Amino acid sequence: MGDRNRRKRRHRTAPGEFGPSTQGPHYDIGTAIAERLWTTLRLVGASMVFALGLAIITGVISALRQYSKLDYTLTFVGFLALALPTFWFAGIMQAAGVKFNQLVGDQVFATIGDGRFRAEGAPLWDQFLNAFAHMALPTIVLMLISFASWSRYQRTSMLEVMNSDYVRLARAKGLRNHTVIRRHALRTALIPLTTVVAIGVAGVIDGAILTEVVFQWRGLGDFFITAVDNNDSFALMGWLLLSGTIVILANLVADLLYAVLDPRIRYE
Amino acid sequence: MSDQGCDYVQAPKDVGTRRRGDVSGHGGQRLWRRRGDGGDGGAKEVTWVINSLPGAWQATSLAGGSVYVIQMLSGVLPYTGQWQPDATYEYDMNVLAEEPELINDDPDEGPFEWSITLAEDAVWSDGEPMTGEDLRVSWMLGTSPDEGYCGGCDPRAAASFDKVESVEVDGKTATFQLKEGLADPEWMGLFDAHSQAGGFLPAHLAEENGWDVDDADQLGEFYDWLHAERPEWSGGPYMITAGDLENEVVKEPNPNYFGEAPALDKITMPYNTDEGTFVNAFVNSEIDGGNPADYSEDVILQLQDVANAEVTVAEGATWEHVDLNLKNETLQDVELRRAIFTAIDRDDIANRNFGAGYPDYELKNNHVFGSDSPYYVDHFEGETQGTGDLDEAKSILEEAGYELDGGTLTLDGEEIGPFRLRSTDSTVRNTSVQLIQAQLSEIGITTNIEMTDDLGGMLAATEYDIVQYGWSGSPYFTSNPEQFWHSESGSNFGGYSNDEVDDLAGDVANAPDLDTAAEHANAAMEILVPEAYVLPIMAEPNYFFANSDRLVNVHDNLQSSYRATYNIGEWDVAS
Repeated sequence: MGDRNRRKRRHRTAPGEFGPSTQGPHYDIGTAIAERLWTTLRLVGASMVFALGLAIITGVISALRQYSKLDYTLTFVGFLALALPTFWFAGIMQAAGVKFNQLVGDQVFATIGDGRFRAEGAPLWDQFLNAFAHMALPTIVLMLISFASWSRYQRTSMLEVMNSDYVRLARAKGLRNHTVIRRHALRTALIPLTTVVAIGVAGVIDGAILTEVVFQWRGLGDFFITAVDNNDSFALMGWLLLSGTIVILANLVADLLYAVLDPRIRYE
Repeated sequence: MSDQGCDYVQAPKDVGTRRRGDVSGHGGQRLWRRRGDGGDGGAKEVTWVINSLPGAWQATSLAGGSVYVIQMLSGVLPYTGQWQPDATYEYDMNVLAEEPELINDDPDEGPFEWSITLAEDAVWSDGEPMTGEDLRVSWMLGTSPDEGYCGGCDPRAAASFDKVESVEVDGKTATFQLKEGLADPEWMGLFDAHSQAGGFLPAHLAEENGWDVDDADQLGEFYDWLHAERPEWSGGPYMITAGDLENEVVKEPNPNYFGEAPALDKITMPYNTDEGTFVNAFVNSEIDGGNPADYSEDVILQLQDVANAEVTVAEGATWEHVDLNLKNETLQDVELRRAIFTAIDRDDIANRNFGAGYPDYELKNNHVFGSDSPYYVDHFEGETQGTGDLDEAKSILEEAGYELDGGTLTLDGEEIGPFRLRSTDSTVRNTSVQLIQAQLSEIGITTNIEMTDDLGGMLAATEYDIVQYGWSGSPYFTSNPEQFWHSESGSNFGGYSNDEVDDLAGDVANAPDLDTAAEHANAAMEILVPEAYVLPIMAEPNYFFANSDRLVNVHDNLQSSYRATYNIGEWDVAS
């Protein structure tokens, strides 16, 4: 392929023209990816925030209370969540949601879809209830799956930092324990987690595949499965391009965060 | 029409009919939590699941031609009539001023001709009257590009539309003439619920958008627009007010509907591709029911345990069959073919696949007509094919000069086979081909199972020796024999050729009436069956489930691709 053709292809891909789809002449890959990215971000965004918060808190507590009953309990919960097959756990959560609804006699949780269209034009409070009902269960599933491994990383990292010389020095200088942990230990201990989370978030955005299938959300994971089912190579290339971009951006954000977390790191 | 469960459409027309009931009632709208039944002043809402994504906004094209698009459009497209669940045909007298008139049914006396007159008060949702021009333009949109009316269009099943020579429009009336010498015993179905589009389309929107329908290229643009844009128009009791092709559609009553006003305030149709989630969603009242295209024993058994679930299972429109490739020289011996089909145990295949969820299954003994059809004739009565009678199969082979040599079938010392046994990778077909492999090994024939995800490509290239797949049908049948068995048909994949059958298949398509057409079809099968080319197994069962405590006037229609939505205008919820 000559340079001219390559340029032409670049020019088409940039505005989101990814080529014809085997899913029909009216299936626009660029539009589909954009819509599904938004869907996935809605699903993943909340779960990642909760998972990260929970992982940091439990990781730090586990490290500070090493070998205590609390540490063992949190470790057990973490490994349990890590060991749960996603499709099974998602099914269990659906059944649990249904049971909960039956117990309270109301439909607090929904088990399928994002329900966005049925909320169009409804009052804001109803829209919120609708969104919450549809998002709660898949968010919990994604959150617990990510939380499990992240909390283990955070615990290990925190233990390593707590045993380092500069933390001992900080204590020797008479700083309060809370200050030592928050200002000196935690910030450094977050660096390995930042790396893991950056890659993890990119992975989840690209492919919360099983969660999306079980909860029938039309996100990027479902997009990938559909493209494979239809032998849709242009759609897969579009998905791959987005994946690569997300990984690069996530790593860039991680690199920038290193400098925020550790004052010794400077980009000059 | 193709769908996930069926591979090839045998008829150019699909789907069902409607007669609107009377219902009314409104109220405020509540969104999530408990959906209203209208009795507490809340809105009357129903959520009906569609078990796959629709490929386009209209069903005329190849991409859009699925039962899911048809069901998604239920209550939106107007049509002239449809088959009822009891296999009787009813015209939609809300849409029609009178029953369509057959002007000439004898091609020898002049062109085959009929007219359709639409009701005076029939209007689209924007208030524009429905006219004969809507029928003319819908016909042009349905013709194949070779006819020259619609540039770049890719309509599925265009045969019935291509037969038409001309359409004359006079206000609400359109008069159709077929090409010289042609007849169509199913003429009344051109714009009914089983037709290519599932009804007819609004022609005035072409003009509103600046397209000249008599210019092929511009009509092609209109065709693309119809398939690409969510319809904001309707000619039925409901109109789509929100939704997309990936998540769901939301329907609300069409304020300009000319029939009885529908009872429901809102119908939501989510697309759900994972049948495993149906039970939880149903128990949680997120969905009120559905009519999936695929048979799923697990889901059926679970739903049958839910207290308020009405679950029915019955023979669907898709029937499974085993075909042989007659282009393979070895399989050109009819005695070998008869022995192969005799060794295959259809009852075992059907029982293992469907016995638990649908013990009342029936084996299919007629390629064209179901056992409830008035035209049904049992063409396998007294036949050994499909019985799994291994002694009989061996006896046929022995008489034909074949020998079983140490468990291997030979002819003149040469091994017969191994044969490529192929199908698509579904649960039902996986079970089937494994059983067939075991059954054929009993008569010394080795088969290698090869599954494919490109059934169309595999069939078109005849890359098989023995294959199992499905045909999807409807009460319309006159194009089936030509499609299945005519020596020049592109869908006669195995290369069967018989001049007598060719003539009879042509006679079916051009018969003056359905009785004569059925007579010719049965005569063709009488010749075909002993030649052991296609072995029908059984119609795949379909299931339907609905919340029996809540829904009123909702039941399945297996004659129609619309299935339970065939009478969506009559749906109501119990107060």
